[in-house]
Amino acid sequence: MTTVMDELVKTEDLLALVKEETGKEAELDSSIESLGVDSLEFISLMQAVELKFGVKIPDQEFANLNTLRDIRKLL
Amino acid sequence: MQFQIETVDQWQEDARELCVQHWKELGLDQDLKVAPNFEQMRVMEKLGMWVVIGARHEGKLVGYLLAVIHAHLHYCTSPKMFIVDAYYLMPEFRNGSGAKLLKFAEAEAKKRGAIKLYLSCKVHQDHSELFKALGYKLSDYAFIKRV
Repeated sequence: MTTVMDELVKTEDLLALVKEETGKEAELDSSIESLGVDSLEFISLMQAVELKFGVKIPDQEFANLNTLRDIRKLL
Repeated sequence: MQFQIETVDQWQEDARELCVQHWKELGLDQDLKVAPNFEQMRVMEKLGMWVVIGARHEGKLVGYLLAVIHAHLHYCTSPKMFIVDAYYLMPEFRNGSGAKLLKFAEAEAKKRGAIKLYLSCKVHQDHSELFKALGYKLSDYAFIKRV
């Protein structure tokens, strides 16, 4: 069963991963654009997310990823 | 930014200016007049062979991806293939959006029953590292010669 604490840890882990991958301090409502990544860096970030959280983000979802919260919802 | 399937009619109205911008930035033949054949695109669209993906920001067209989809002439008994004709994003909308546009195209290709995508880029604006990161394999070198 997923607890509230698990959910919070997942959010913290995502933000830490973003910092690690992009060097940017971000919040859940930060836009992907604000990370200053190009397409290649964005794909690298998403691959790191998939690896860390053991998920596969469907192709059709990528177009809807505007903020980190959008990514978080898929984890 | 929003990515969506558009008809040639929908896209054409807003695309004229963007096609010129695309050609100015990337076209190899600046001595030839850029003139997209929208009528031919409409014919192919009616045959189910032409795909237009529009990228819009607050309703404004800021990019697109065009593709031909059909059973390959050399493999006509096999499922369709999705051959990207051209793609473009305005420079100010490129922060990761190119990858999203390509992922959207992949999802659309699958939805339409295609089993393979063909994609290329200009040598002077090389996107091959992005393509590789997305799982594409280098398969051909293309050469052009004016005669």
